[in-house]
Amino acid sequence: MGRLGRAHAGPYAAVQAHGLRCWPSTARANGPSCSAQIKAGVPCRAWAGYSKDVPGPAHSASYAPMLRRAARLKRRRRNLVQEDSPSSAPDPAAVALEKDALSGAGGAPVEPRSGGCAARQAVDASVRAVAAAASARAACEDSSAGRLGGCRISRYTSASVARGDFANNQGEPMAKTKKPRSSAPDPPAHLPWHHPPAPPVSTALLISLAALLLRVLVSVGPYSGQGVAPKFGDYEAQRHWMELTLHLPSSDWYRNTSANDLAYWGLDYPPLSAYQSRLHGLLLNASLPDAVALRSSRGFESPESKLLMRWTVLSSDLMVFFPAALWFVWVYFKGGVGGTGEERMAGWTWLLASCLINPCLVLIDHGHFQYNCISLGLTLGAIAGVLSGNELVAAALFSLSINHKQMSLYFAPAFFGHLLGKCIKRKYPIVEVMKLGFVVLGTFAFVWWPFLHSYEAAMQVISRLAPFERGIYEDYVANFWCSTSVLIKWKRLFAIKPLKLMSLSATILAFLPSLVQQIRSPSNLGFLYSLLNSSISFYLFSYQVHEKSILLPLLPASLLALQEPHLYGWLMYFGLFSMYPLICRDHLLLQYIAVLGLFVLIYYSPGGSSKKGMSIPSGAKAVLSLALLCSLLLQVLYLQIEPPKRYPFLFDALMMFICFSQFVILTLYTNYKQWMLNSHSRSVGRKKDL
Amino acid sequence: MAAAAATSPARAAAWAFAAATCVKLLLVPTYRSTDFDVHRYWLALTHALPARRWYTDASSQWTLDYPPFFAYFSRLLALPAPLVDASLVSLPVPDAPPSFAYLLYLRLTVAFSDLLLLLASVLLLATDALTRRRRRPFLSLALVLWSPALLAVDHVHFQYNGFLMGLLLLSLHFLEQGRDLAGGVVFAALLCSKHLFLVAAPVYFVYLFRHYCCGRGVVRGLGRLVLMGAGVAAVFAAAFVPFLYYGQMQQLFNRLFPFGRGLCHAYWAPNFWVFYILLDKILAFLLRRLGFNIQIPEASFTGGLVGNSSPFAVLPKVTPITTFLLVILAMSPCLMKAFSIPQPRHIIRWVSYATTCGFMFGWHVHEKASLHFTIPLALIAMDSLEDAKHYFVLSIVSCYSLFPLLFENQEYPIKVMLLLTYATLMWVGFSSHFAAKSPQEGKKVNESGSVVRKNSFIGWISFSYLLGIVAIELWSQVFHHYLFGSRFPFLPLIMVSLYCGVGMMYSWMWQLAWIVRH
Repeated sequence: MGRLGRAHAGPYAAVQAHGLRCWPSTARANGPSCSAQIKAGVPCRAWAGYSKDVPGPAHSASYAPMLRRAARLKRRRRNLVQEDSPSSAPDPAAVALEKDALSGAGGAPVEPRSGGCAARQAVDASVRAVAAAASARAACEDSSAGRLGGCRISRYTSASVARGDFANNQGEPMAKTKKPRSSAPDPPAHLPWHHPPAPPVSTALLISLAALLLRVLVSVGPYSGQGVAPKFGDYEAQRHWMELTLHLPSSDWYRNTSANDLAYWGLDYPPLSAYQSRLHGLLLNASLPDAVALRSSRGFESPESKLLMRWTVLSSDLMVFFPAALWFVWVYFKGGVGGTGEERMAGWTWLLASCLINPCLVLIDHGHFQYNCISLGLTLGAIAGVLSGNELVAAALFSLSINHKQMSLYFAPAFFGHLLGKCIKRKYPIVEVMKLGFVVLGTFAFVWWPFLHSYEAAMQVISRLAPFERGIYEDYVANFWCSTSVLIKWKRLFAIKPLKLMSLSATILAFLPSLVQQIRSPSNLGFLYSLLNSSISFYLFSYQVHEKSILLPLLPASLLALQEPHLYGWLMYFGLFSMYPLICRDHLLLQYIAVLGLFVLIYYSPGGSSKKGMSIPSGAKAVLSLALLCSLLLQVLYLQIEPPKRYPFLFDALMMFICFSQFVILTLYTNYKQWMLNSHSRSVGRKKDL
Repeated sequence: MAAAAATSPARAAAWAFAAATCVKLLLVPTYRSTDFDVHRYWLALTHALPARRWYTDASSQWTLDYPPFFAYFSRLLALPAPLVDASLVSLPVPDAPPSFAYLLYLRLTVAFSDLLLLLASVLLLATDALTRRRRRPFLSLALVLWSPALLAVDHVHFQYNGFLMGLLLLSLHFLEQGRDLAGGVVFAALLCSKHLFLVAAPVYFVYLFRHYCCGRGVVRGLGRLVLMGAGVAAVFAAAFVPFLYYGQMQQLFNRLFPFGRGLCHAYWAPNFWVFYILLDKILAFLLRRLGFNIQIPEASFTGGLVGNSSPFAVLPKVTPITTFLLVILAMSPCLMKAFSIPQPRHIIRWVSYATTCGFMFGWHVHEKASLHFTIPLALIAMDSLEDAKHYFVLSIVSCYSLFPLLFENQEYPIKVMLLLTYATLMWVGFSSHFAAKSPQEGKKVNESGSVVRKNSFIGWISFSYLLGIVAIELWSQVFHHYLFGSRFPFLPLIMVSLYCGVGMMYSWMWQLAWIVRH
């Protein structure tokens, strides 16, 4: 990562580093103590640079040298404009000039830039910078605040010069001059990881540790169905599966036998989940055999078993999800996804934090109790594999992910479309597709080996995985079928079979645009959008969706956190909100508040990237904030007020409507974005052709 | 981007505080010690009974033994309690474990009282002291607000140290600003909230006398002395006059200064006396081997109580007077410095050093008292590379020495992760902070021979010492059980005390050397 940093943002980082460094020392110091600072050798080169020009008490005339210098620079720029030739070798004069200008403006060491054109641009801007600084300083009175204002300007301008985005910053320096005069200048407060030279490895370690700490803290809370006999909750389900897989032969795992009552939390996840249960069952058996004893352990609850079970989730998270997230962030910044290098460098800590500190995932896995971190971690690894070009690894990982939880199929259209589109563009498309297909089939065969000896055994497992008889929806889930059931009673009007067909066709229709886009022009960024689009299509339209399935669209949304910060924040909030009744049932409200608070804080962290991205029109903003207000109100009402007797689930239904409307809006938006990606890249290609 | 990353200190502080509050919320369901029952009783006591009976009521074993301001503070916290649950403040306190609402309320009062700490830190961060060369970076404030030791003691173990530390930092802020009168009055208020801070009183006295009263002529000096005396006396009067009026001063002082406690707490605080006791044991063992007739005294140090007989076999008996004299002796260089050149910019160091002396040599010191100097030292941790190195070691040692407080399995990962995250935060923050400064200070640092590579700012001695903590922890968690089973249950605790004692001795000597040199 360090190598990358130097490659992408050399001069920027250098200047920014310097600007930040000198800033605190210049802030708020007044006249006499400033000169004392210089005598004391305070690390403030900007000041030192000026002190040569401005000896003693400063007044307007003292800025004359600076203005003269600006004029000189202007003259030299004119010369440069005349010889404006696209030479590739660095122009020594221009480089020297640039250095000169920058040291005048901010005193920052700047690495030479190649290309005479770039140098000219830089000089151009630095002329502006120096002129702006000088004029601002001249305009300032002799007050110390005024002088500091000048110093501050020089910092801004020098930073913007080095950044190279001159067009945006043309008016900015002048606008900023007023600020320090009216209010006392505040020093920038930085989180430690926003110091430019923060060592990347230990910063990544810090974020991972903080994410792990959060998980540990949430895991102190209650789990689903704690002390609620006789059926308990997901915690008991997982513990029961450990008991089953530990004591029964694999042929009996999915069959109703005397020891395995399928009606009591029968195993309904693919074989990899069962293997994972067996492994964890072995661990539990080693230290607390009572907790996983066959039959006698039903509903077993004790503080020790809770701790051990929590540890199994924590360790799975640490071993699967964390490495996958780190790999993804590494790949992302190695240039896997679009965007300028500088943008990505500035935001990598934020991206890592948004991947690891996913409030919904933390609450469901470490509060409610599930192992989503494994299947989502495997998917995330597969995504990183695709972005880094290791398609075969990606195919294997994604197959494993499907074999851990069949819900990972929500991502399948995106993987299919992207990989197919990539293979078609290659020299031997058939061979490439065959290779991928072979890896997928091989992985499946490997995982399903104990169930492949007979057709019946395999079908038995499959029938457990697709429980169509449980209806098209169960509780209140913010998808199409449940939300529209207020108007159309789907369950009453249709039998299971036509419903199956309807939901299948609706789902296919919903993800088709993004699939086609990826087959036609596969790109890394498009792939991430496509993951989001296909998973949310499944969430909205497929058969038997749980409220927890919102975790699946949230994964690609958090991966897009740098591209779409608003989308990410919005979807995460409403995803969390859509699980609010579940959270309340689990008595996880305290954890919910804390985790949501932490999410908001990270989202708006000082120096975070939340302000970037598109600007939302004010009309849309009003509508969206209305939804936000309603959701906040409902959360309070849900706890405080008894719903009317005729509509006992009034609040649940209202929450569902709000979430559904938001999800639909976001789906339309992301589909639109994905298609615009297409046209944008084509228009860029056309320009290149011209 | 630089502009976007810049935020005002108050906003950044509020951000850090809010993040800490979220963590505190998550800590609500964790283990709580008997201190929880203590404060629960005090809340009920101060709410249900008139002040006349606060120091005489004995309906619970957890009698009120803090000075009156803390009792007033409890009264204040109890005010909204009936709105939550009337049984919160009824006497006698029921024996049953508290309901969740009750627990939440008490936990939230701690988080709420931490606002004073936030206020003091914001003031210290935004300080416009003429004496300081540059402002404190944001990280030094985050180090205070996110201190794992404070989180563990206040929000798991249950105490109100955040509030007390807030008072101390507020007083230090005033002193640093040159507003000596306000600083003195706030410190008096702190003393009336928790009398353990008396160890810092000599430094305060000397400093205020010299800095506030002297050097301005006799008349003005006397006037200022009277003013300061009146201010402090007013605070003490507000605290103690009601009880003087009730004629309970004797009872109050008996409560505040209980006699008959031993030199060491049940769990030995990592201070000088650990070495003293161990030396005594080793000497007794060796002398007996050599044939001397040494009697091993009955009194056990782990009991925490001491009778008339000396608990030491060979070395002379330690009395409260001895420890008092030792503390004053250890403090004397600092007092002399404060007397000869009273400078506001050193006051944080001096006060921290005074509390360190109290911790190292005091009578019946609790391990939690190490907070009283690690928190103020966090504020100056970013002043120089040497400070950063010292604070890095000290904060880890101090937090690790608190590990035995949270002994239940459920909190084990929490305390480890808190410490690890904090240590990494310091590592990242310090190394990037000082790497950014190295172009200026690089030469100086190079001459002093320290490691200035970007990623390693502490020397190998400190580093191997800190690795030793990992070894001790592994030993006490894993290997001790395999080797000894359930025998010698105190051995791991003694090892932790001893090993952390080494770090504390280092910190004490480092601070002493710094004060003598500057």
